[in-house]
Amino acid sequence: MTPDSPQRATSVEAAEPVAGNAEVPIWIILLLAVLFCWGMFYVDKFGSWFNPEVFEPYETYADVSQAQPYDPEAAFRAVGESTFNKSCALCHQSSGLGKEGQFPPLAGSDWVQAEGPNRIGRIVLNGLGGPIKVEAANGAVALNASMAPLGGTYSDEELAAALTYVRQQWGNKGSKITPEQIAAIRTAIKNHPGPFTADELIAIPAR
Amino acid sequence: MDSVTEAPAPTAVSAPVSRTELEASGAGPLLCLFGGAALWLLLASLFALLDSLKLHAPGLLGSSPMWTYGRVHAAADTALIYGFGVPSALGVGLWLLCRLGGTRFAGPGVAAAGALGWNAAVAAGVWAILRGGGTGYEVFEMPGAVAPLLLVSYVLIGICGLMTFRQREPGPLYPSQWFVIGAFLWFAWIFSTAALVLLGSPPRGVLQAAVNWWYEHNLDTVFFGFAGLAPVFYFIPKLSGRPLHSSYQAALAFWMLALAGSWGGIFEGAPLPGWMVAVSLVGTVLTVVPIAAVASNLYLTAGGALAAADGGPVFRFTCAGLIFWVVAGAQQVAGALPSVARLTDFTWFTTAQRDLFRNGFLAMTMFGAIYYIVPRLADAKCATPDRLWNRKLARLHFGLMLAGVALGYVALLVAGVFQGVELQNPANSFTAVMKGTMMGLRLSTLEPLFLFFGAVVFLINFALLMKGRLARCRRDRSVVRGLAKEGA
Amino acid sequence: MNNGPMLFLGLFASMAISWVTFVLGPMAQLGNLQQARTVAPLPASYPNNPPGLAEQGAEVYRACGCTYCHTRQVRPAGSGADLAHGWGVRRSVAHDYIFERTVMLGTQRIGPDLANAGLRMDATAVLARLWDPRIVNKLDSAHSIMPSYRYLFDVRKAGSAPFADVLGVPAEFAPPAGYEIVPRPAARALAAYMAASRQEPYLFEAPPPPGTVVVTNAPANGTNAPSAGTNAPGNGTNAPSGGTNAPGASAPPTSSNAANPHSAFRVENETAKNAKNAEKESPFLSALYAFSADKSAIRNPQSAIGETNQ
Repeated sequence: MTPDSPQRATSVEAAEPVAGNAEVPIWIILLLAVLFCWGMFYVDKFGSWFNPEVFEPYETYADVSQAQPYDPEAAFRAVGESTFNKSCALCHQSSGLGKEGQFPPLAGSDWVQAEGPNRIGRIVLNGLGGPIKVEAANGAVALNASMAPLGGTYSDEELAAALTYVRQQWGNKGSKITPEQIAAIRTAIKNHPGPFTADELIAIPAR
Repeated sequence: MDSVTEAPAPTAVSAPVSRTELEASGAGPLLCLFGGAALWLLLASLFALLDSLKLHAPGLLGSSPMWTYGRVHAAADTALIYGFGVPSALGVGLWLLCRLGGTRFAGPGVAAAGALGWNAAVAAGVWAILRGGGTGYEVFEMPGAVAPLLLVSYVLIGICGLMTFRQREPGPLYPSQWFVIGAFLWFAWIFSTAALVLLGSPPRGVLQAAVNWWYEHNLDTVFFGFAGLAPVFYFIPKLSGRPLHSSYQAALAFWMLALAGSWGGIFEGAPLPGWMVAVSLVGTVLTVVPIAAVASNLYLTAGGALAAADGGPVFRFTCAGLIFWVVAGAQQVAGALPSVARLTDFTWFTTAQRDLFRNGFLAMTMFGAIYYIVPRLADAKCATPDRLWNRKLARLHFGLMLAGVALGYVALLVAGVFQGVELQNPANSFTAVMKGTMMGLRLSTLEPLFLFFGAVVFLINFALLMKGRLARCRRDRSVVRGLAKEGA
Repeated sequence: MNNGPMLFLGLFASMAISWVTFVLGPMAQLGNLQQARTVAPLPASYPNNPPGLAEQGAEVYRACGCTYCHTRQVRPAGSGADLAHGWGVRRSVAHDYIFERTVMLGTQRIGPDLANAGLRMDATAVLARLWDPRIVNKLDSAHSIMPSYRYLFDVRKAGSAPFADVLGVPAEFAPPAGYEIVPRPAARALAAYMAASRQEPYLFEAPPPPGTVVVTNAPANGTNAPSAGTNAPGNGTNAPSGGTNAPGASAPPTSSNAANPHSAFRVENETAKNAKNAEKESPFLSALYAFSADKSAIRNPQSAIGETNQ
């Protein structure tokens, strides 16, 4: 006998519940499937592939990058600085002071601060060879230059940016140089063989 | 009339445990858990009442730092969740494991020690909160000093539960058992994670909030969901006298609640990466499946019996609790959708959902189970345990709770929607919008008020039961013994 | 499912998935966030360590339970009207909170958001509001339901001269004649915390909204000196927008960041212009002003009344 059915009970404790075997109705399965698909779609669209730098309302990292404020002037200067650091600073130093007897200084240089880019544009495009006299911040410097051409390595924009950087750094006062000016110089000196000399350059007007 | 125990066989094979023994074995710790829980609910509703009054009378008790709104709110939440919610969930779970496993309760002394330790820790925690020592994390305000005692007490009780489960009668598991084991394990895991991360070595920055919200969501949706659904799955089939419609559907609901319900808590616009918000939303929306599965399963089980509200307090509380769970769950899903969330986040809408869940679903399902369990523990030999309660008081308790929960919910829901919609217009000043919700806030004060009176009524009933049980059943037993003597 | 161990394994797996997704994963991603470089208005490091008094104020904020009525997070424009209400210049992101010891973001707004309280109020305004929130809104027909925190203040018998840190309030909120209100250290700390709460600079994750007018910073020389729109620290008036921070608050030029063309520029943002009483001084200076009431009075004689509308 069951332990808990008294012989004459005034109330009967109901039997323990049992679980039936009915199948899960199809609509619940369908609901689960639909919501699961929706969930996958939603995480794909808004989950930004789990990128911790993407906050709502942006959906992808690319969206956030696109939305960053952009200043073309600053970008131009940044390109110039980076180009200078890559190539020019090796010889002319990041202080712009050059090396005595070997590389002329750029800081305070009269060549750099000329009115226009005609001379320094030719220097960077085709290189410079032979004696040169530079009036710099600490007096005149005369040395034998041998600068490699950079016209084949860098684009017009990079060279223009680098020259602009040099003309406005270390207290230099020079105007901005545009990529168009460099392109014009490049065309003009197409047939010039090899590096320029200082005398050749002085003959050309600076502007 | 006695329930008779069979004489044990002379061999070492143990006889099936009688229900009397079953109930008697767990009486000590379970009564301690339930009694403590009822007292904590009284205190929690008192704190909530004070808070609710302060919303429309800010000067109330304003000169004392101990009774500032923030501290009282933290204390009310702590008392409700850790004072009432967890112990009653544990008690109901333990009893279900005994019943469904057909076995004696394992280690009642250990569990009783755990219960006392837990209550002491919560008391210390609530006192610390009122004195300004709260952690600042929602639903996790108790200072780090009490966390070890809480964990140890919980583990003591949990181990007893697991041992009881292990020594169960062989046979298929009933869904309630899954839910109980799930609840026991889940709280241990989420609480220890939160304690280690938030109290032990707080991470840098907004991760603290992420872990806090994850913990709160898991505490409500998964732990309390499991803990409250276990007695629902037990009582509705049992009291309507029909088998549970589908165990497979129950299994689907169980696993979906564990998987999807544990993904959530991060809301739209939070200062966390977008992927966390997206994943949290998907989890929350997927909880529609367990809600639908549970609701349809139990509806098909009870059928028209749901309409028969004369099933006594157990049936009424349990059914009301289930209905509130469905509504609260649906609202949680709706509130997580971005188009709704941008209106309703941070408004009374969220408060309404939380209150409905904790006071409507959790408290009512717990009381449903308590009304069933306590007389059987108080007097295991009594043949008519349900009659030990004062029926009028039980009905009053149910009425008060139902009215309080419903009134508070509707008031806060409307206030929340109004607040959210009005705040979309930047020309509306914040204080003007809040003033517009004042009517709803005044009405919602009735919720903790009714809950308080309901708790008082319950405690009176409980006291009457404990006092009267011997007298009543002695009377019953002497009648039966007299009858048996005649018959034998 | 009748097997105990399988039940345990299944539950453990579910918990593990959730734990990895919401606890472990985010910790790996955000657990070691360092200062970020702002993308607007000037390249600078953000955030900065809050001043010590503000950190103490955060403890007062926690102990008073302010997080149960106020949030400290601004949602993006599409997720609510937070920005439209002027509660911030931009949405809050993870980087904003890396130096907060206890991050209390809040989930309920019974009062307005406080993530950028420092943009709307100075320390004195906060103190006045703590004394009696009705001071601020008496011009508004609606009255605040925020409780008064008068236990954070001392009401002392006035001596022959007023105490240096006396809080000035309108007559109907003032103590009886012959008495003065002196904020306690806890009130001061809380006010410093509020005044230091600001999340202005735009970051990579929260760039300025599209259509923002970009004002280029074309210096005559190579240094990134402020060229237009200076702002004299010490006045609380609505300084012209596009103003730079006072020297000392901005970082040196970005020569190290040459690889990133999106680094150095200035942005003139309509929203920033309209941020009420936007203070362009550093949070450190704001906290410093919290020490002395007379400096605040010099800065803004109306500061006891503070903002008139939110």
